[in-house]
Amino acid sequence: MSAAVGDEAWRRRQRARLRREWLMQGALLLVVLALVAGVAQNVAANLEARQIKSGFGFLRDPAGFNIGELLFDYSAGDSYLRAFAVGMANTLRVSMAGIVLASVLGVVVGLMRLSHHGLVAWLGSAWVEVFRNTPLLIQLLTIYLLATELLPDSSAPISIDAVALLSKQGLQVAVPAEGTMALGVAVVTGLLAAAAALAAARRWLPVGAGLIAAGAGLAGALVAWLAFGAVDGWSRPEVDGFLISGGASLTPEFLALWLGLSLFTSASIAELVRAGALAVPIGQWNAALALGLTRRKAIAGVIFPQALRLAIPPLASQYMNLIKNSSLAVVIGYPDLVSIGNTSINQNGQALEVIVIIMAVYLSLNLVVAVAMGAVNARVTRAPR
Amino acid sequence: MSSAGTSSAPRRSLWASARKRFFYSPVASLVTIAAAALLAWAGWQVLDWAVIRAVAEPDYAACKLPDRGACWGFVAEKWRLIIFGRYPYEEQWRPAVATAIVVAMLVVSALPAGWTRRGARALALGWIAALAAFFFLMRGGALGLAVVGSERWGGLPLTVILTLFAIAASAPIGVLLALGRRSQLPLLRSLATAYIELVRGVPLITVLFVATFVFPLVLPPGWRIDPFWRVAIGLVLFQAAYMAETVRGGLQTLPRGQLDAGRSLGLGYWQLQRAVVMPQALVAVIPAFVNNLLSTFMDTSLVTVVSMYDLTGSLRLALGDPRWRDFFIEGYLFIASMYFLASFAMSSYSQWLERRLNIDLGR
Repeated sequence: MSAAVGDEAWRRRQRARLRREWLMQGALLLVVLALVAGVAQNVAANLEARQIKSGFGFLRDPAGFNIGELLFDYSAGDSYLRAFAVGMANTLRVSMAGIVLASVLGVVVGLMRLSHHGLVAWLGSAWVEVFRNTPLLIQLLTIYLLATELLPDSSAPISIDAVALLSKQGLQVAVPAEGTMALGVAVVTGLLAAAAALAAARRWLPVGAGLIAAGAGLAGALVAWLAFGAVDGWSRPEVDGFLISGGASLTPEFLALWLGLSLFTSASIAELVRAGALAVPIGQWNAALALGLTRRKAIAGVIFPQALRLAIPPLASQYMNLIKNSSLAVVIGYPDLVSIGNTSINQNGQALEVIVIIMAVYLSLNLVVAVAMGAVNARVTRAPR
Repeated sequence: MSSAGTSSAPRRSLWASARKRFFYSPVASLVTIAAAALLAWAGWQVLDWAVIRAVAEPDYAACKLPDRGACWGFVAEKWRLIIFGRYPYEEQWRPAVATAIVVAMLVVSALPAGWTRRGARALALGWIAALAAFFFLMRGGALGLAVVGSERWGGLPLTVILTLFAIAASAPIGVLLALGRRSQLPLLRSLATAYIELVRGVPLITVLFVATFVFPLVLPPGWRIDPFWRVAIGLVLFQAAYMAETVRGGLQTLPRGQLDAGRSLGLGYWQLQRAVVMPQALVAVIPAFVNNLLSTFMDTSLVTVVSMYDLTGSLRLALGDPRWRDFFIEGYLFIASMYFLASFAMSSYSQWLERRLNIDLGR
C-alpha cells in the first residue's frame, strides 16, 4: 500500500487495522499449533498404550490376505503397497466404467425428459425420481442381492448363444484367444478411425466433431477387435462342473457396483442435461427454427453445443461424486481401495496411515478429473460461437 | 391437465390435448402404443406379485409356497425390529414419541409463515426443547424411565436424529467456515479453504473411518467416546464443509452495495454480518439448505458400514434371521419406499420454495 493515500488520520486507522489483523492471525496460528501439538501428543500416547507401530514402514510388510479381483499379479505374500495398488486399480476400473455408462444413460434420460411426448417425458422423470430419491447404498445392496440370489447357479447359467454366460458367478463373455494382440490391433484401428472421422467431420460440422471422432474411434476399435477374434479364434466361457472357465469374467460384485453407481449418477446427469438445455435462451430456439432448421437439427447444431458449455462444470463434479461413491464397494465386498484399507486396518491397526493413503488417493483422483474436465471446458467454451 | 373447466366441451378438449401430447405424428403414436403396452405389462406383473399373489400374514409356511408373490409377512413379522432396531421391545413407545416430536418440529419449521425475526427465535427455542426431549426420551434415566444406552438405539429414530443433528450442528460451523473462506485474513482464509476442499474431496466413508478409528486416538488417554457420538460428530464435520459452500453461494448473491451501505453506517464486522449479510444470504439459500438436508438423510445410510444399526442397518439385522432372509426384496422395498417418500417430499418442498422465493425476490 503506498503511503501517499489518504490523510494522516486515515493512515493511522489503517495502520491500527493492519496491526489488529496481524495480531488476530498470530493468535489463530498459536491456537492451531497448540491444537496440533496436543493431538500429536495424545495420538503418540494412545498408540504406545495400544502397542501399535506408527509410520509407513508397514507398506513393505507382507499383506497376508487374498484379493478376489486382480488387474495384475498379486498374492497374499506380496506387500501392503502392492495390495493398495490393486485396490486403487479396482477403484479406477469401476469408476471409469461407471462414468461411461452413467453419461450414456444420463444423456438418454435427460433427452427423454425434454421430449414433447408425454409418456416418454414421464418415463424419464420416473427414472430420475426413483434413482435420485433412494440412497445409493440401498440400491447397491438390492442389486447385489438380486444378482447373487436370483441368478441361476453357475452349473446352469443363462446362456446367450455361448457368447455370454450370466450366473451367480457373474458375467462371462467370449473374447479373442490372443487377448493382448487383439487389444493392440483394436487400439491402432480405433485411433486411425478417430483421426479419419475427425478430418471428415471438421469439414461440415462447426462443433461436436470431437464427439463424433470419439464415437467412430470406439466403433472402429470394437469392429477390429471382433474381426480379430473371428479370424484368430475365440476363448469361449464354458460350464465346467460348478465353475465356469474361459472367456473374460466380470464378478457379481463388480457388476452390482458398476450398475448401481451408473444408475444413481445417471439421474443427476439427466438433470444436468435437462437444466443445460432449458437454460439456453428461448431466442436461440426461435432463431434456429426461423432459419428453417428442423427441431432435431436445431438441437444438434444450436442448442446442444450451448447446453454443453453450461453442463460441463457440474458434470465434472458428478464424475467426482461417482469416484467417491465407488468407495461403497466395501458393503458388497468389491475389493476397492477402501475395502483393502479396511482389511489392513483390521489386521495391523495402523488406521491413521491407511486413512491418509486413502484420502491422498481420492484427492489426487479429484485433481485429475478437475484438470481433465477443465481442459474439456476450455475447449468447449473456445468453440466458435 | 389445464383443460379442465376451461372449455364447454371438456371431453373433446381432453381428446385434443391427448392427441397433441401422445399422437402428434405416426412415430409418436407408435411410441405411445409401445410404451403403454410395456407399462401395462410391467404394471400387471408388479400388481400380480405385490398384491394378488402376495402373502400378507407373517406365515412362514405360506410364504414358502412355490407360486406365492411378495411375502409382506416378513415386514409384518419384523417391522418393529426394522423401525426401532435393537431398542428394548417394551420401551419402543419412547423412540416413537421422540421421533414424532422432532419430525413435527421439522414440519413446523418448514412453514414459511414462521420465518420472521420473532418466529426464528421461537423456532430456535423449539428446536432446543425438541432435541432435549428426544435425547431424554431415548436415553431415559429419570421420571421412572429405564436407561437405554445409545448402543441400543437404532432404526428410523437413529436415522432421523443423525440427520437432524448433523444438519443443526453443521449449520453454524458452515457459516463460520464460509465467512472464513471470504475473510481478509490470509491465514484464516487458507485454513478454511483447505478444510472445505479436503473434506469435499474425500468420500464420506473415509470420514466415518476417521470418526471410528482416529477419534479414539486423538482423545487424551483414558477418555472414551460413545460410538453414537463419534459417528454423529463425523457426520457434522463432513456436512459442515458442504454447508459452508451452500452459505458461500448465498453470500455471493448479495450485492456489494449492501456491504458498503452497512459499513458506511458504521457497523462493525459482526454487526454487519448479523444485521445485513446473514438475513439476506441465508434466506436466499433455504432451497439449497433443504437439498443438504435431503442428501444428509440419504448419507446417513452409510453409518451401517461402521456398525451402527440405522434403518438400513436394522433391516440387515432383520435379514440376518435365516428363516426370512429369502425375502430381502420385500424388506428393501419397504425401507426404500420410506426413504423415497421422505426424500420426494423434501425435494418437492425445496422446488416449491424456490419458485416462491423467486417470486418474492421479483426474479
